[in-house]
Amino acid sequence: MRSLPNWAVTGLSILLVLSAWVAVTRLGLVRDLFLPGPRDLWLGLQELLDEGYKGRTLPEHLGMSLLRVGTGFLTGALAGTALGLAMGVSRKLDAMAAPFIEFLRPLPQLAYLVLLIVWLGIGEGSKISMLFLAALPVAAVAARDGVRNIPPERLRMAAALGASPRQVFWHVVAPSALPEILTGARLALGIVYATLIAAEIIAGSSGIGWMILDAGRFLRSDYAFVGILVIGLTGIAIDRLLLWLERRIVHWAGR
Amino acid sequence: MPDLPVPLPSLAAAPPRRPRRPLPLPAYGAGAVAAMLVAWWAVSGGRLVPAELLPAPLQVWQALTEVLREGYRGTTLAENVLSTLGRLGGGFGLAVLTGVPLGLWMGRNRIAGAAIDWIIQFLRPLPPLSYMILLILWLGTGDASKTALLFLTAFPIIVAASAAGLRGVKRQRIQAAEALGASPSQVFRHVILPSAAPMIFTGLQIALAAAFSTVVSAELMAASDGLGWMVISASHFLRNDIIILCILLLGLLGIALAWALRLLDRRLVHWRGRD
Amino acid sequence: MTRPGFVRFDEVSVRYGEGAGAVLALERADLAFAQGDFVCIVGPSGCGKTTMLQTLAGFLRPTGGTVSLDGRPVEGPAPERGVVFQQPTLFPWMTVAANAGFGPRMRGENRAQARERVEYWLRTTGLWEFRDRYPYELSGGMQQRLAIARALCNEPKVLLMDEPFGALDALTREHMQEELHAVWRRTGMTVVFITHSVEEAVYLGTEVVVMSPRPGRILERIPLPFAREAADQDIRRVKSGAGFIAARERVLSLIWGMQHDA
Repeated sequence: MRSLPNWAVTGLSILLVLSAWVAVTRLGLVRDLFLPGPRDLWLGLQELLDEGYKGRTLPEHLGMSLLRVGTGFLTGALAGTALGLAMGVSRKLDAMAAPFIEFLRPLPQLAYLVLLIVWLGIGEGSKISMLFLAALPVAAVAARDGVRNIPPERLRMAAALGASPRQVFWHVVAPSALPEILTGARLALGIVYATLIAAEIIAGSSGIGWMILDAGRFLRSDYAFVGILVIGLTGIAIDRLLLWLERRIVHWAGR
Repeated sequence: MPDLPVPLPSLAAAPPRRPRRPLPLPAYGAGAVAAMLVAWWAVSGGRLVPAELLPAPLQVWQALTEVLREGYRGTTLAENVLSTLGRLGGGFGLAVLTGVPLGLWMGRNRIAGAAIDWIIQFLRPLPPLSYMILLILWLGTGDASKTALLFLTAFPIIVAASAAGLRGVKRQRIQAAEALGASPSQVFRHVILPSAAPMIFTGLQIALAAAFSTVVSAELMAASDGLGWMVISASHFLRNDIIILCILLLGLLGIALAWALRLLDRRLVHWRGRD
Repeated sequence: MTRPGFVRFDEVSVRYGEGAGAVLALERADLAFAQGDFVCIVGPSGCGKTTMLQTLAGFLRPTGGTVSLDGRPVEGPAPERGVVFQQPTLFPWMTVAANAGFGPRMRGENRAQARERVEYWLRTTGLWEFRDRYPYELSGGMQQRLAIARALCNEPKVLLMDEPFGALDALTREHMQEELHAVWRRTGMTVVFITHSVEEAVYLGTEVVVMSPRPGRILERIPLPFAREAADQDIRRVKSGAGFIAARERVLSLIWGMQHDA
């Protein structure tokens, strides 16, 4: 045990959990309603891929969710980053925007979704507005802090080398803040993703989050399990993708 | 005029201007909030937007006094705030009590770390609401499933932060303590734990924020009290004034929670970022 | 008072890694010196000086040979061997006084005694008035002084210092050299001191050990008179004397030659 490498320990642990799962479901210790076995999940996945759930296949549900996530995230992160950069440069603007940002950031997104639904209806508009509002403060705070944390010598040096304020902003301030902006974007995307799933569960009629809830209501826990696994793996994949992009774009970060 | 950390204009030897006393920065914040209130008042209450859609500030204020005086559908506002905070405290507290020791153990014991980490890594990015339906299936619609949900929201964040905090302790600091004659258990208590404390505390703050968001979602989905329940119930009765009131309360509550933890953080780990 | 072989390295080798990728960080180092000596180890990067110090501190187990102090082999870190690193490595959650008293407290020493010694060393290092502050409120030089005071409060038999002044500015560095010199003269303590600065080594050391890299080994040992002679002399006067400059150039040319051979 002591000499086993980490990956082997992890592998053994995964194997142990999987075999416990198989054993428990095979022996009928737990009803498959509560914990479907591997076979049930596999069949459920096949059905979701072939026939779909209530008119849409699993990839279609997932695609709808990701489209919402993408739209809300991109608009919110772009607007937030622009606002944050401006807040980083101007203390006055920061003082003016901060109360709203600070209010919005810890606010549970689903609470204002209800209001947005009253205003915009239950369709895409309310969900995407909510995602926009979820991403915006996170991106804004990251961009502002990114600008604030630039070492002053770097700005002085750029000015001393003859850069105009506009040049300093585009050639020094923006790239210097980029690592924090991208880290903030990754954080925002995680929040947007989790928020959307919650929104689909509470007020949806399509999308993977809604599929889980609906399947759970009709006691199709095999579908619900497949949905949860897909959500988890997709979330990890999105995060990895963004991390990879981040490392490529700001290869100088932390050096 | 941009005021960067270094005011750029000052670099460019600008001609001297008559100094004017600038407004203090908080005044800008107060001004912005006041402007927002005026704008809200101007468009709301039937002036531009129907009052049912966007009640005026005064109507929201009246809703507050009404709820304080008469309660909301048989519950008082304080009861609802307290049941939200109670759920939050229960799930989060449980996660702290179990997550910190587990994370510390994983950070110290390589085998434990490698065996458990993959579970944490899978749980962490999973949106909590996605498995809410399973928890309801397993534990029923009562508070048990909500406590479990909040626990599972905070737990992986706390475990990961505690383990990372422990692994991040500088080797040389441990060596310094050993060379001064500290025993392994003394090194753990007096050096490793305090060194990991800033990161553990950061984890607690993130976990509490996540749990706060989740508790409201859970109450929207299935509850018979709490601020989240008030929001969804008010929406059924088209009481937008109550919804806005609850949103304002939730925002203030969120700020207060974050602020309280930050204050605690500054007192308990005053050396954060300074070693 | 002085006993030969107070600190002994017998054929000490340290190898990192295994097989073809193994690096011989230290090859059969043989060194013995007496109680009260101030031994400075110099040499280019990768010559194994820090490795050598780590084996004496007990942080690193040699792959061959033995290290011993006062006749007993070194088996691990112990309070009889005080250590000061290049970074002060203080405990930021403890006050200055608590940092200094850490060792005695951990060993469960009599409180009154420990307090007395903490006060003595904090006064000696000029930190007494800052005793209730936190380390991050001190300047870099004061932090390093506290690290030294903390090691001394343990009354170690030998003080091991790994480039303790390497991160300080030139002026502070000279002051620290002078203060350390005074402490050493007053206590007669045994010190092993690693540095990149040949001048520092020649000023402080009763002996300079020159090491060469790849594999790390001891090249030459040079006894020096300045540390014992320079009783109350001003540091600048010592360092500008003809004898001092000659000794400094001799050590420098050894290291210089090494780099050209490589």
